[in-house]
Amino acid sequence: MQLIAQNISKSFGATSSLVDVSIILETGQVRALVGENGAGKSTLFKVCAGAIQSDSGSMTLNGKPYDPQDMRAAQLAGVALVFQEVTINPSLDIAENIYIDRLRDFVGPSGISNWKSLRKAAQIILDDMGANFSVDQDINKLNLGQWKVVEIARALSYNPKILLLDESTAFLNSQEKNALFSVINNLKKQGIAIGFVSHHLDEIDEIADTITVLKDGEWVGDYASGALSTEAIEALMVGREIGRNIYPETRAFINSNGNILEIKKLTVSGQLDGIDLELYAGEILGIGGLKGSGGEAILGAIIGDIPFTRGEMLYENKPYHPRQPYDAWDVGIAYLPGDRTGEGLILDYTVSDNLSMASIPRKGIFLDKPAVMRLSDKYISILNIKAESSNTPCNSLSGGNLQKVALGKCMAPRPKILLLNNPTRGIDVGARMEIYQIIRKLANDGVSIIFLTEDLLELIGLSDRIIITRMGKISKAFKHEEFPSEEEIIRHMI
Amino acid sequence: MEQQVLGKSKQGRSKISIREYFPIILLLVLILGASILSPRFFSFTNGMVILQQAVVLLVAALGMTFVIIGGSIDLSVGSIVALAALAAAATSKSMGIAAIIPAMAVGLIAGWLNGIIFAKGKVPSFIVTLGTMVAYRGLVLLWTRGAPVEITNRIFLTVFSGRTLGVPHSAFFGLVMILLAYVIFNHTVFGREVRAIGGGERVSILTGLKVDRVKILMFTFLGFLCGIAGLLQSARVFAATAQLGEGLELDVIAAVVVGGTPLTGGIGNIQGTILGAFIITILSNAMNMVGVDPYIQGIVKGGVLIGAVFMTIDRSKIGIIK
Repeated sequence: MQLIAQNISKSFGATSSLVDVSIILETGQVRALVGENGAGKSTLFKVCAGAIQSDSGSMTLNGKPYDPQDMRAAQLAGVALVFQEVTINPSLDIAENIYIDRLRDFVGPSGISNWKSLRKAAQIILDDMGANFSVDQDINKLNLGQWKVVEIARALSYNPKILLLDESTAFLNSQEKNALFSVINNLKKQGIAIGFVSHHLDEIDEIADTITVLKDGEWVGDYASGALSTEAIEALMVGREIGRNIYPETRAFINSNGNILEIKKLTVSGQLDGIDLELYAGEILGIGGLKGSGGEAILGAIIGDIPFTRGEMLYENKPYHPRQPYDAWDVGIAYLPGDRTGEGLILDYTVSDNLSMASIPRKGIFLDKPAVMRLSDKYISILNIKAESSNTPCNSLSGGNLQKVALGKCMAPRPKILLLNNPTRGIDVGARMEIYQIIRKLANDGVSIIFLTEDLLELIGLSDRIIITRMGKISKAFKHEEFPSEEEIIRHMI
Repeated sequence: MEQQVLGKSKQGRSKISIREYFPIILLLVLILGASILSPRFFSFTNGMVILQQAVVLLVAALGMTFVIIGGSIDLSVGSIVALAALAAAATSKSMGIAAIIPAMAVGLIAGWLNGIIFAKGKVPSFIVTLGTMVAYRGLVLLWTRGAPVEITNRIFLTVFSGRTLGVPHSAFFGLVMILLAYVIFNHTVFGREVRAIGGGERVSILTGLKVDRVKILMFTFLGFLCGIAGLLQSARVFAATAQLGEGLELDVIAAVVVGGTPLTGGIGNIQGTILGAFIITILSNAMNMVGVDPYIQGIVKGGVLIGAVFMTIDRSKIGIIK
């Protein structure tokens, strides 16, 4: 089996996600796709698997034209994708999740579902994968890594000829990962072609035969695995040696006596386990860690969105116990959520509506409309937001501009602490650099910033100080002016 | 490239305008059709009758617009109207026109209670107000034991249901309430917050809006308007009866929705609701004038409601239609 995608281009609104990219997946080979966040890896996989349609370009499967209109068509043709995002439905059981769209195949002649054969079929796949759980277990009691195993089992249940794995190893522990790698090696022997995305270059060294590097949606090159050093691959991913300089200067001096927020023994049941944390005035504190390891819970507890079960917080040396997010905003703590379309912005509303939302200018009970206009014009110009006017609905803006609007909303009340959850997720490099500059400028003006990111380079590049969370605890608190390498950070993450 | 973008937005605009103007087109078509079919329809007298018939529905619908845009629903409006009508009727003898105070107070309290249970108790507004719809009506029955409470106070009746130069006084109250609702919706922080909560409650919470307070306030405001509506209704029929306002909630919701405010929340306006209230009222009035079989009228009304929503709903803004 061989999948060839040629000259694929895809844009979302004004953002080009893929520009003229080609890739070949050969029978019995693992091709790794590497690149920074937003390089287009997931988009390319989604095009191959029919989840989205490319704007231009063509694909062939075993020499025949291949143009799947949806994922179902791709699956029938033998192409299965495991998404980077979680696609488990927790109200269904494990076997139902694996055969989620083929439950009809297990209906007996009487019209009644044959749960026994469904479970049996699902169990066989799990056993082949070396999973450490059975189909009878409660899906809500499995961890994220085990969910990923279920999703991979779902992809395998299609008996794919081409299997695409998008960051499937990110949540796996080493045992699960080794099991997955042996499954992959088995599939290779059966002649299945595999596409593999991972941020961990050591994994890629271990499993991949060939490597394709993408950068900002463009094809950089195809290489044999092992032909290049890790550093050389990174340089290709970032594009230029100066690539790391997209981050502004870090702060030379931080007054570690002047803390603005002190967290003691903070516990959120099931998410955080007795965390101690200090935030100094005017610093940028970066939090790294796997998804679900505690970073989101720390931000959620500080903003008052997640109730904490034990522990205490001191804000400006006074006890601080927010019950609702407005308790936090009231005292000068602002929050930029990680999901800008669902939590950060009301997309149907105008740029001006959104920018002024957290600090609506008022005269008594009345709206101060001229002041609303002044406020939105001010932040449109400070943040260089590209919109036709301040009355343009947000849903016509590109991802980078949307994020700037969400950031502007948080800046408008002039907070003392700004909490940022993945402030540059899915944003192109240009907008990212602008956002970094703004964050740094805010810190220089005395705003204390905690930011959470899944992007290690960003974590290293933007932070004045870094802490790493693992399974609800702080596994490592680096000191100011201590700049760990990616490998060092990953070691504390997993 | 730029031209393409411009072309797109132009196209978008023309699509919106058909939707935007649909309620007024429907109203004009209705008036035109009824005028052709019944010569008595398009007259000053009938116009004033329509005004009087529309005003109770309209006043309640103004408040309902806030609640629906805020992403909630209130099924208890008919019962609040009845409760307020009863308060007005019972106190009119001793208090005269000052009976407007107990009417408003009863409406305010009933609406506030809905809001408190909904926002603080975290019970869905549909369920809360389904319960209070029955409970408030029960209160009316308990109080009246089913017998109507008549209004005999002349001044009360003159002020609230009399006419000056043929124009019913209730129309004046309706106009004041329209202005009040319009200003609150478009020019206050509260109006902006109602819209924000309906457009994205999670976003509003995380942005630090006092969501609970806004929700309670919008239900209280609806209760207040229902208080006025109940007062006007009692004055119009010279009594408060146990059945007064029964089924009103459906007409009120229909008026809001026909006016272009979808039940999903976040979008809508006051102007549309005014048109919607007149569409619903004129539809009934015209069918009576033309002599449509009363047994068919319900079918026509239901059809118009569905048809109007089919035409006005902005499917690009509402991803999942439930």
